[in-house]
Amino acid sequence: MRISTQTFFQRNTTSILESQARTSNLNVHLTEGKRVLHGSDDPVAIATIQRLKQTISVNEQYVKNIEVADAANAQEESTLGQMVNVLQRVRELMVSAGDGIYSLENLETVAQELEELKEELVGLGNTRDGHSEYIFAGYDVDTKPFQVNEFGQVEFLGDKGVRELQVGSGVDAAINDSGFDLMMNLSSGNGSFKSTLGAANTGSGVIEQGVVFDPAIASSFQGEEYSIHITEPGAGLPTEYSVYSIEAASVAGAATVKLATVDLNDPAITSVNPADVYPGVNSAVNVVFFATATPGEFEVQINGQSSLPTIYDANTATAQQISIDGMTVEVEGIPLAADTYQINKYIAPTQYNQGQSIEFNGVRTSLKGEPLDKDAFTLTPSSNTDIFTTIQSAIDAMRIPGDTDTQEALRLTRLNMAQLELDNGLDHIVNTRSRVGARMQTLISQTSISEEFKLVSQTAMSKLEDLDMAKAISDLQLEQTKLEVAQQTFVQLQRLNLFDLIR
Amino acid sequence: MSVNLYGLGVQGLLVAKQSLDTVGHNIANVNTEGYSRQGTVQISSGGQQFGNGFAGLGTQIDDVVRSFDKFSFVDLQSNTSNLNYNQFFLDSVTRVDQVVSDNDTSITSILGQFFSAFNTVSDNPNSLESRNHLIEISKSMTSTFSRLNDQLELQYRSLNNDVENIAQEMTALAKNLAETNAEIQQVWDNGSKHLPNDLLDQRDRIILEISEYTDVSTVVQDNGAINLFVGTGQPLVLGHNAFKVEAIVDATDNSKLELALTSKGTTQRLRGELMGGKIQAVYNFRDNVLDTTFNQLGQTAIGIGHLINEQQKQGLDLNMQVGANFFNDVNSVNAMAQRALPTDDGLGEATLGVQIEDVSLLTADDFELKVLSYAAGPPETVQFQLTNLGDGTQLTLPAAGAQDLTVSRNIDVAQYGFSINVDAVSVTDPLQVDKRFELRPTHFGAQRFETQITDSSLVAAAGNQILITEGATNTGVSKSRITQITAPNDINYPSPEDLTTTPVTPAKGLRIEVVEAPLGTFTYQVLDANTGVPIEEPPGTPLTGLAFTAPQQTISHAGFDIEIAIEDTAALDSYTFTLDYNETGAGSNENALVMSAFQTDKTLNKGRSTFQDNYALMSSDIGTITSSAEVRVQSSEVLYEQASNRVTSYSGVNLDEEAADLLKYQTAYNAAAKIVSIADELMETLLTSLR
Repeated sequence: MRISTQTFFQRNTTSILESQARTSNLNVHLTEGKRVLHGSDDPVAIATIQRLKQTISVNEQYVKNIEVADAANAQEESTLGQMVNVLQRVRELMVSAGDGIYSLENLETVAQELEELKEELVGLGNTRDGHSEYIFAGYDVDTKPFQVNEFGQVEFLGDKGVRELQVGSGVDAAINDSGFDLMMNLSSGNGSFKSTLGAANTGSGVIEQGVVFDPAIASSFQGEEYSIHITEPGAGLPTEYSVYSIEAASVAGAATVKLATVDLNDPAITSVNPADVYPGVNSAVNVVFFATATPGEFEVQINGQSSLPTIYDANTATAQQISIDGMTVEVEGIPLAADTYQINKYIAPTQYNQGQSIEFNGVRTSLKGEPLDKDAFTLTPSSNTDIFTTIQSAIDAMRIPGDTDTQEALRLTRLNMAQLELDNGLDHIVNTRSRVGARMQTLISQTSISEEFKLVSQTAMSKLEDLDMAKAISDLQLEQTKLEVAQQTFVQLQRLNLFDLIR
Repeated sequence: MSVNLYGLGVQGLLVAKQSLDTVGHNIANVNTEGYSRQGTVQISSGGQQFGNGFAGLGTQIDDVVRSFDKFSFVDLQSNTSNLNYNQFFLDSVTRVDQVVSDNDTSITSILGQFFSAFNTVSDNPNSLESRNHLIEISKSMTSTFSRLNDQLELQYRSLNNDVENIAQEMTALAKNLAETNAEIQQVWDNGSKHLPNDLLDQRDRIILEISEYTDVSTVVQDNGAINLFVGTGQPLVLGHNAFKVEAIVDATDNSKLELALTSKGTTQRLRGELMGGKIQAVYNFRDNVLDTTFNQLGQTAIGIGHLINEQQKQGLDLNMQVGANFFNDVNSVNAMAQRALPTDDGLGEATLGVQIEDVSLLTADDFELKVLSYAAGPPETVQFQLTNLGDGTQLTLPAAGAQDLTVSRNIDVAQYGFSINVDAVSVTDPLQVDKRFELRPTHFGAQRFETQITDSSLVAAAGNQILITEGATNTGVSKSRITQITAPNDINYPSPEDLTTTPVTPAKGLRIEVVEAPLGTFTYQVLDANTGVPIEEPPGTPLTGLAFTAPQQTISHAGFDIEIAIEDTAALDSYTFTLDYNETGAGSNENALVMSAFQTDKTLNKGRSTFQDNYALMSSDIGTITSSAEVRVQSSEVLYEQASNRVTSYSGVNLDEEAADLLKYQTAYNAAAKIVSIADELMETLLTSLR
């Protein structure tokens, strides 16, 4: 084929230019160290690279979140540890006070120490984090969660919010626990019943905790408040106990009614006392409220026997005792007319032996000491309480004045209950602490998962994106050689010219 | 006799001289672009009969011709336009490729930072520093989107400049070609019947220049003139008449310039996408690459904007109020109107809007909307045909029959995630059948993307205080959200369980029931969720049997406003919404968690892509187009070179060849001169002998 001179020059120029362009392109990739700079370098890889970049940034974010979560949980963990220390000291003091060997002065010293410990606990509940936010306040992080109100009670002003952070793909970790769940959500007594002594007890009888031994039976009597009543039938005759309960039958108002005392020696007692024991037909009598002409004042009837002229005056804020024919109920709060409570009789008078176990409706308890006539012992269904009230009730028990057997019995029963509640509360905090520990464990494993993911993604990205330096450098040298060859050939060839030979 | 020898010698001298001149001309033009090598056609002058045969009469130049191969040249024409098409396309798409995938200009890293900032807010929802940081990052993200969009816009506008330049260039070239035609024709007609080689070269050069812009075909006339047709056969030059190429504004999109041929007052629109050359590259790049890129970028922006905005409204800000828009509202009146462009076809006037409904169903396609029927009524009715310009799918809207606009001016296009608002139809110039609109749901998404929130306390990081559960037995699609909390201390406001009272106070919730009876009439009642009894507001007035305006109404009771939207199906409908108390507060990060999870949630393209995936898809698409354009450029360069080599192997000047010719004709000249000298000697001899 003919080659025109212009083509000859053009071809050489083109090949030199192309070689230069390739060299420069290689140079750019080399200086950036990247194989893929733009989508056109590898359209499939660029999408993967961008996704991997996101994976890396997401996992970096997880690690950051984990750091935040870890710091929060570590602070909570150490605060909970201090709380456990405080509560263990409280428990020690209660146990030693319950031994009955301390004098009243000693008890006062213990009570004072308990007061300090209670304050310390409030302080720990109000712990703040590095952002000055209260860690036990739930979502209400700017409000001091535990505050003492005008009645000396500790109130919880935060909420139940639990903040969670995303620490892994589909893994959220909590970074706080609400102070409510921690310290305000305890069951009173042993979790089933709270044992108390009648306010008018005169003997030295003490009641143990009420234990549910047959939950199937006990659950069908839920909500009933049991009471054990002591009767001394007469001189020389053995002391007897009987068991009653009281429950709401049809109630629209907001009063609480307790069975305070039962005086079986009262001559008219049969008119209000159930004739039979459960499950007999006549094992129950009703307590009914009737309105009187004066608003807020109610007539009470037990088994149809009127309390008049005695009335219950709901306008005064104190508990009032209404006695009808030897049966005394204690009423507090505001009832509505026709509110009906039911008194059940479970155990007819039975001889009392000290320390014997008393069983009814799947519940077991026992009495100790020497109770006297008309003494009462109550098992109230467990309700909500908080750890501060518990400590306060222990303090109050220690400050019960006097050291008669009756007062000793009251003190002992109350301390006993407070100790049960405290154990319950301590368990709660210890459990929470181990949950926090488990969370921190999760965080550690999530950190390594995220780091691993990040590393894998970075490796994958590097394979896709990074330049094989050795290959690139050798490519560059090859290209340079080609360029030199092209330049030299051009110079050599263009010398071969016929005109040069025509002389 | 020697007189004849003289003549022969002189003829040889003249012929050799003329051939040497031609060689000289060739050498002089060795570097002239488009020059075709010329050569003399030397013929014998014949013979004179003598008794014993013929005596030669010498030689003469019959013609000077150029070395030219018509087929190679046509091949070069088509390869020129092909190379220019690919080259221009590659140059344009490379610019897009570089901005969308470059680490510094792409949204990949700023998108990561944005969600990272959201995570920081969920780590510390109560901290103003982390909230301010989020807003700053968000601004920088939206500006990255608009910068990218600006880059594309800039290219779009420079394409309009290209169109104008092409029009001017082509007009000038056509004029030149027509003038050259006229000159060639004149030479021919003067009676020489010889073609002027250098003018032909000049004309071929013009044809090649036109080939850069478009495919051309030529037809040679008997008189040497050429008719030139461009694209799919539109005449640009006929003899010595040239058409004009003009840039005109597109009938639908007035930001777009197109090409048209004009002559004697008539204008014919050119179908640039079929014309080949640079023109086709401009059209293809603009309509396929650039528009799709605008749409994909907009789709991502609308996705982020709409989802975050909607989620903001599910949560509470630091002031414990329902969150406001974080970004600009994707369904503002202006944004909706911008998405529907009427075609200027004189078939009536109407204002339409496109409303984004569901970003997961939204695609990056553009649509054509055509009026099938319109009646001014009453009742005013309309029916459209919707064509997806991406894949050609057609839909009739509404499928069931013409829509009564007095009932609703909104036509849902459920499968594409948007709806069409027929805002107003001109009374004096009503819609006619075949009136067209172009719908661009996503095109302007990135352009309008903006961080609207300025007060960082308005970031709704906390969960809402009222949790809505929509009834499982609701008969159609329902949507509901709390729009405002006015009095959280209202007696009927939902409240949590209170364990501190004896007995425990249960949580208080509300239930809203919307019932249709009879058909078309809706009523609602508000019940206490625990008791099922209507609540009373004010005391003594139970909230029951209240009128509800379908499909949407905001109702305000119990200390909050709730917006309820229901679907009115053909049957008797019933809807329930249960409202429960949800613990929240300044330290709550419930809603921020949901929003930061959008980073990895597959929210776009029917749940197949995250925001980042959608962007990666776009950069990968462009990368593919670019790299295949690179390959096409390389192959078309090779083809062009081959064609060009073929042409020059016929027509190009080779200096060595010319040097040889120079020697050849010099020798011939010397020899012819020798003949003259010998004739002279012969004559001398004769004259001397006669002396």
